[in-house]
Amino acid sequence: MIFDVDRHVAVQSYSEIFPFMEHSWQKHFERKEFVGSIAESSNHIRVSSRFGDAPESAPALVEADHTLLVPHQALTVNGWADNVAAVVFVEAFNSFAAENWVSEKSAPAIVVSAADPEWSAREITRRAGDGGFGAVALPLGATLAGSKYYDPIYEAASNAGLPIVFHFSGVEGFYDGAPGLGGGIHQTAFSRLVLLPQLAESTITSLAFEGVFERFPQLRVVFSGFGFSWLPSLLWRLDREWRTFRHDVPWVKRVPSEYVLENVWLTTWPLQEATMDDDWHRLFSTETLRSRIVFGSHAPFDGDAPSDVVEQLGETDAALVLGNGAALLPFVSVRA
Amino acid sequence: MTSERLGSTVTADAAAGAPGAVTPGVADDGFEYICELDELVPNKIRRSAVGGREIGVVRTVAGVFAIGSSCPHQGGPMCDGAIKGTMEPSDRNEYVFAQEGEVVTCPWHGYEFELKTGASVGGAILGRIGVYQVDVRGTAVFCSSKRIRPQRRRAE
Repeated sequence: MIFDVDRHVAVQSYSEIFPFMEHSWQKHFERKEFVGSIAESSNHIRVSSRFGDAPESAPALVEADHTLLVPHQALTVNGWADNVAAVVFVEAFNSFAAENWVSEKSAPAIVVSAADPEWSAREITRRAGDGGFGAVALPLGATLAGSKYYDPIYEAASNAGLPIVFHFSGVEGFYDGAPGLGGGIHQTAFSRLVLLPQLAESTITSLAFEGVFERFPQLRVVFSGFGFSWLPSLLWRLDREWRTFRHDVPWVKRVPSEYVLENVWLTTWPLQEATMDDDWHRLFSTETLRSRIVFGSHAPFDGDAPSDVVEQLGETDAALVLGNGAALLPFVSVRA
Repeated sequence: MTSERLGSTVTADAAAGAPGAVTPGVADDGFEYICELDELVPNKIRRSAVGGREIGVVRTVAGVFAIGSSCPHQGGPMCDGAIKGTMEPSDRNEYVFAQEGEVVTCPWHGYEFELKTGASVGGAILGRIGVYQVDVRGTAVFCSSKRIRPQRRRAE
């Protein structure tokens, strides 16, 4: 079985989602600076010359038994100043996704807004009830993910049995509303891209030390597109400091790595970073660690194919990683 | 919370009994005389030689305790550790302070151990410090060199 937990879908024009919002909101959005911004939010990591100006979208991977589709254009609301309009935009995007991207083998993620947890929780419950969605994509907000502020979202996702997907939108590190990167604002898009793993490390640390998995033990969280070779050293540091400062976070009742190794997964892209110097076999030496890594093609953005996984990890571990997504997408259901 | 640290002088306790106190030495039951109770400065760990071992004896608000001198993590000098309480496992964003005077921390990495059992607080590490029986007889403090055996862990 092959599970592709990170495949990107896009609309070609924002006018495609207009039928899914109220007429008055359509009129609000029908303006050049919004409709014309499609290219900016479609090149995904803000390196426009790298992927071109036309919106990029990848169909579900043919070989995959289940594919999670991430509508990356909708993720960019974490850089929006107007969080009221952001919710309307995202809701329309979810309606478009339900009509166009749900199939027997592929399920889109419900996109929500970090700026409005209450609305997001309602949206998760409603869409999950309709069926067809495979996860909840929560754009990274300025407030760290461990905060109680997000509890309504985690509760709704837990109740719906859907994993939370964290995937960068491309505006992190230089738009207010999205989290910054360590050290300051980088000059170029590619330096921001290089450093995006910081956000995953920061978010995992926040989730672990602020007790989210103690409060929501059924919550499953996927970090997508951030790489993963840094995970073992992060876990070591989490545990090391907890052993000394457990009394500062007494709600973390077990070694923090245990929570991460039960509740968190990471997608493979970019896979090559883990295969340098045989890092995969050296660092991912336990069955538990290897179980956390799920195949995510990241297509169409410099994506990896299943054959790349086989080539880089070998047949045995490739089979494991290509199938690990079963832990995340077993509840995919298609509407009758 | 008070947390004082001792100097590093090792005391020859067998000869340090106060005049008029119980005769220093080894009692019939194997307990060895440490010092007079009022010689134990609260929360200061007194290094003592008992049965050829270095044992730290300390008086806190919770009682008189005796611990091994080596941290199970990397051998830190527990007799230089601080006496304190700790935060019990609690709900998110809530603190429940407890065990005042029942916890000692290693001076090297701050790992917490229970003075009564030697166990790592909150299960932070698997290892434990040694703990020994202490008996206050009249005004005198006696200590056994036999380790109090830990309760067996549940099979995992």
